[in-house]
Amino acid sequence: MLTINNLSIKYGHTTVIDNLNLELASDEILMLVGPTGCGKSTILKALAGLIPIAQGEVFHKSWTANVKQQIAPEKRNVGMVFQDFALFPHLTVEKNIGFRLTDTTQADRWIKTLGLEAFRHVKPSNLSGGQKQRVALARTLAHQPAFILLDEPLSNLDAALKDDLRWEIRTALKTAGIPAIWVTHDQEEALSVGDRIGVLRAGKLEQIDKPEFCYSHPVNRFVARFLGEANFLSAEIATGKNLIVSDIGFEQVVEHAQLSGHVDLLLRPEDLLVQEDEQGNGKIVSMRYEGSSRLYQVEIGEKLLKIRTHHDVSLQQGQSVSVKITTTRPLTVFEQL
Amino acid sequence: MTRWPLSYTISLVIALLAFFPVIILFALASDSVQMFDIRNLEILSNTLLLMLFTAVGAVLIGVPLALLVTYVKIPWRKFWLILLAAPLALPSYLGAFTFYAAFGTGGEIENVTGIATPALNGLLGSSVIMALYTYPFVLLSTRAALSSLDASQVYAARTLGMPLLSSIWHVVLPRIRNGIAAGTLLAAMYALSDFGTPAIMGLDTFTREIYVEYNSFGLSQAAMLSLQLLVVVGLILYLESKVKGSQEPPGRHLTFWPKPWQANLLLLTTLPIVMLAIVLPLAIFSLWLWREGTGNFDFTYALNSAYASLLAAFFAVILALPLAYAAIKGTMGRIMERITFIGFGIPGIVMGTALIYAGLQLPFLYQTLALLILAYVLRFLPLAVGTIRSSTESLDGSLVNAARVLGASPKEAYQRITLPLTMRGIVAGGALVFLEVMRELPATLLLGPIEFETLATYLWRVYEAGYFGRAAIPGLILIFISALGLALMFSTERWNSVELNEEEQR
Repeated sequence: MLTINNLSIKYGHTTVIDNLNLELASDEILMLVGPTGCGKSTILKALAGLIPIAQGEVFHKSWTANVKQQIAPEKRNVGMVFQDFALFPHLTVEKNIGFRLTDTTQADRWIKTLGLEAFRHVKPSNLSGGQKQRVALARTLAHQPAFILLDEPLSNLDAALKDDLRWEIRTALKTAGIPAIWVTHDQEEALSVGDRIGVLRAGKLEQIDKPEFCYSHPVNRFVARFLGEANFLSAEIATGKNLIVSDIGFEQVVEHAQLSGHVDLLLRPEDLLVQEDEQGNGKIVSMRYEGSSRLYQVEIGEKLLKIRTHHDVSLQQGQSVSVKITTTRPLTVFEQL
Repeated sequence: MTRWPLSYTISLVIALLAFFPVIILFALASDSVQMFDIRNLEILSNTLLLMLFTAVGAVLIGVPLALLVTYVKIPWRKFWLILLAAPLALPSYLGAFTFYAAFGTGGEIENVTGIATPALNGLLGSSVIMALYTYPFVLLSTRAALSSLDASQVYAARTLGMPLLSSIWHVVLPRIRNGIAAGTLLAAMYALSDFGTPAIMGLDTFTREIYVEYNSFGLSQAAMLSLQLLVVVGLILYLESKVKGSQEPPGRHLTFWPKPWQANLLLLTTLPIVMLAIVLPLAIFSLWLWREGTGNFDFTYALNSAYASLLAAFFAVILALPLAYAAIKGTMGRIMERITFIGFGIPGIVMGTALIYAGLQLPFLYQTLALLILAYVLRFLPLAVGTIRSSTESLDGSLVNAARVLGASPKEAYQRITLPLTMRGIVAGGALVFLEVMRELPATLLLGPIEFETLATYLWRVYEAGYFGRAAIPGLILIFISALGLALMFSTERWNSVELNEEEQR
């Protein structure tokens, strides 16, 4: 659908995106996630043709953009949903959505699908944030682009609204059958709506894969930490690929481990079990109540571990506990720093 | 984008045109025999003193009034703000004209009330008039600075045991120094470039002397004086560029709730200002109208004014559009936009001198309306550019980007998004230029074709001839036009910012 080869983007002399390679399948939603300033929005602007590229190529079945041939945005058959909505303030909802359409079938379809019927003749300034973003989405979808770029579409909205709209957008994109690249800095959003996610740091793609794989098998500590809370336990891989975590008295055979000797073992808070135990070598330091779950901090030796439990597991501060690794999935280990 | 947009090319031509008067002046002044003499020294000191007194007077009136209308909860606050800002919209020569006629032995005040008043003229008269008509610059800039200033520092000073007035002196005023300075420099600029006031008051400043030289066919001497004046103007503009806005985070400002009698007393103290700057000119012109009727006022003067103003407004807007558009396109565009602001710094009398010479060199332009319109456009183009640009700024790139991504070409995006959204600014910009030109005096005096009398030039002839009574109709029309200008000013950007401040307090 869309292939990006060795793409670099510069602002003046600063390289913002460095040698990016990416492919967008014809039916997928690809999430690009990374901390603020990692260049994720820049990629979208370049794909839309709003800023020039410094190196590399972007292929689409009907056009190819490169340094010599910067295709104008209107020639790319692209759709874009902006963080600040970018609705035309002087046009009604209906006129915004049908901006360049002569046939209103598509506009009517998306007005209906996204529940905007009541706002047809309203100007954007009278809409709430969520409604504005629905209008922006309807406008983009009604113009039937070959692919859609979403630039932090939810970051200007209330938390309560985000969750619903997230699914609404995903459903709409899937209904329309249009592939999309969706940029966000919210890891939860990225993990929950993307078919694949790409994690960016300082203009470089660190990892791109299915959300569950990125979460449980991050390629490095940055990705591990960015996608969720992470514990790193020092461990040792003995002969026979036996992993020994001496801190909590644990042994397991690791598959595919290319390392041996001292390593760091990645454990998510959900991978561990904490239990009341008078003889246990751990001690509860603090507890954060999260509604459906609780996040405990447990001190073992010199280490602090984060462990998530069901919300009705209630342990007192200072209580002695024992900790177990309960996960059955293949473990991820990193070279010790 | 590396492409050189069409708007850049057009803007470049206009920017070069803005340099044109300065270049002419240099060419012209090179013929001048006298570069600087004792007489110049006197003119320079008069000009500088007038500027200094104006600045001091404007601060002394403007800052306390700003404190009053910003911090004190008075009834009808918006009304008072507009009323106190109103002198800004009146051309000061109307004030000078009426004050000159009102004060002194045989003046209108003595005629009507029998109370003898001292004559008002020279440096003192000019300074009083200038301060009365330029303090709103300080009022507005100070008010803007005050209303974003958080009150907590004053509360801290008070709880540490400092009385209210010294808290304001030590804690508030030092933080709004830049706001005050910005307004004061504008007042100083006005004092430097105004022609009518010193001319009527008989103070030999640069502007008056340039006119005298022009009348005695000393055009190159006038050019030399013009250049000297431009140096001073340049200095003020340089200072102005150095004044930075407030760096403090905006907060909730102080509010005082006086008792009704206290509020009334405070408002009473503003009365002399309002009486002098607004009521007196109105009263004098009305008196003349009542006493002498319409005189032999020919209504074609008003039509001439309107016709020339309409043409100037039209061309200013046409030229301002590519400039405003280029300014949001990129750095080069912004520079070219800035260059056209030169016109604003060139006093009308200087612009007139430069273009008179251009007319002499290019006979097909000499004594034509086209040359006069050119002077207006060069001088007031920044007004149109500024207004149009502030309306284009609100449409950041993202709307145009959105249109492009939806498949619109740059041309279509301009027609369907940029143009409709800037329409308000275009209309306001055109109207501002129209109203400014209606009241313009010195350039019109120099460049107006023979027999082409406007309201302002007619007023000037009346003054020169001494038939003051005939000034009633043009004077009142000019005041009316100024009121329109004020209404327009407050209905666009500034008014919105005033409204916004009021909202924040709730």
